[in-house]
Amino acid sequence: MLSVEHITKKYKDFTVLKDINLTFENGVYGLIAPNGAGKTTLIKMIVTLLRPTQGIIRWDGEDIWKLDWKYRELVGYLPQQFGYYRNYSPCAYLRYISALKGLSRSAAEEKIPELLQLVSLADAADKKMKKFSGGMIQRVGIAQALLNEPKLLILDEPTAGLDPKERAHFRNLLASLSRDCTVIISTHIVSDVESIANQVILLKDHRVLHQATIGELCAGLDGCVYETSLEDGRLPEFEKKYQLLAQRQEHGKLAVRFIDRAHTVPDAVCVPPNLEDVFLATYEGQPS
Amino acid sequence: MRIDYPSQIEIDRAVETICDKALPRRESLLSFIRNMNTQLGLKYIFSGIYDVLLLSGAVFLIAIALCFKWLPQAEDVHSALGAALFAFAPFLYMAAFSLTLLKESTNPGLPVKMTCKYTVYHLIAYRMLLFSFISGIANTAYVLVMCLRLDLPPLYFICLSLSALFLFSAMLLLSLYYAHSKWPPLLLSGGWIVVNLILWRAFPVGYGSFLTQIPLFVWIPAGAACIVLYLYKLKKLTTNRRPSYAFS
Repeated sequence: MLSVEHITKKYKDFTVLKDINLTFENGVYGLIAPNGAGKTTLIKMIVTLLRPTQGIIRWDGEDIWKLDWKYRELVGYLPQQFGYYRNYSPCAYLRYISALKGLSRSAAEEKIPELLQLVSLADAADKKMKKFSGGMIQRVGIAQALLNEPKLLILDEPTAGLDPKERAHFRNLLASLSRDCTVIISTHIVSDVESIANQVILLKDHRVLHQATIGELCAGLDGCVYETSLEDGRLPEFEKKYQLLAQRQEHGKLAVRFIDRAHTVPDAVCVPPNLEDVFLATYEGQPS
Repeated sequence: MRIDYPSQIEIDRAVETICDKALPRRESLLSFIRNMNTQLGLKYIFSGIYDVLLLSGAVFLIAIALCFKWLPQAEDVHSALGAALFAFAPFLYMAAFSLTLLKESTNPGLPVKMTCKYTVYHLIAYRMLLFSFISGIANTAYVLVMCLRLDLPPLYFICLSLSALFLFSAMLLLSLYYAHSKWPPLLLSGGWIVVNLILWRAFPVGYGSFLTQIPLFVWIPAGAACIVLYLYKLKKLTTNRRPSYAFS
């Protein structure tokens, strides 16, 4: 179990995170917030890339900084900007990282082909990565994060560059891993976590706003999300009164999805809220 | 009934946990070196920095060649050699270390490497140890050649050279140990050469004379103390007891 206790991170006069308290057990956790909210800072502290200004992070009750390499042995990390070695093939790169992760040669030789198969790179195992697309590079990054069969898997924007089919495959993979592992996904793409997250963490104003299941988060907007159609030209006036969640052209009219806590639009149909609605409602007015 | 057999990683991890609980071990510097050699091997320890090592070696050889050409023409060869050795003894080590530090800190793969069991600090510690060993041998060799050429006592100048090397190494290691960024070690590297050259330029004979008047029984214990401090802190660099984080 990972526990984040009273974590604060300050840079000179600027506080990035204030008194963050979270607990993680086996399962998938989505960490959702707009840019600049401190997601990557929090993740870097969890993977020991940054020291907190205050507070402590524990793994099974012990300080992760005191555990040292024993903690890092259990961690798999995919950073937001995954740097790779252009002249290495995926196979050579994974061998290198497996050595750094302390895997025995036999364990690495057993694991690497399995992982390359899992991320659909078996055919390109010996090709140099400088010829790879962004999606292929990202899949190598996912593979290296899984090398040491981590107990704690941290993924920062993991589906960047992946097409919808790869994203779906990746979601299924994470769901299967989460039985024996804690998976934390930091993402802007709400759909990445909507179908698989056990809990979602929302950060706002440098603090944790919510740590709850998707059902609990959506319950806060129950009865407040509506859909209706607007005539041309009515949108600007409509936007002044209501928070718009989505819009699309439909049969010559504009179909809009919006929040109305008082049900003041007579023709509007109440619809079940989803996680994206919660995100947009929570971070209204903040840069995405 | 089907029983899933554990993977090799699970087996290794379980064995390590059991051994660790039953026989908790404090890793010495020698066992650290042995583990790094066994686990990573020189190929992975020096992966990605061969160009840096070649460049350092080439620059070092050029510096030596210039010394060979210029020193015999100095007014006071004895003092000039002392000043030159003190200033340039860490040169090969400094060049190799600084260039690899710069390369590692700008490496896009750094975040992943820093979350592995063996981090960039482990690689740097191993490299620093090897660089200091190779520098010591290289320095000793060229000091011997210079002393034979200039008819000067080799033992004294070898001790001066090695003491300068390990004094610098210890200072560099402490700056990396306590620094919160990569700049203090890099500035120290440049600063060592610049300060020595300024002193030498300001006091062309006096600076060298001062250094060569320090007796052997001062150089030897000073050098030994620096070596002990260096080896002691080198191992601590790889642990989280280190107060700083130069790669954040």
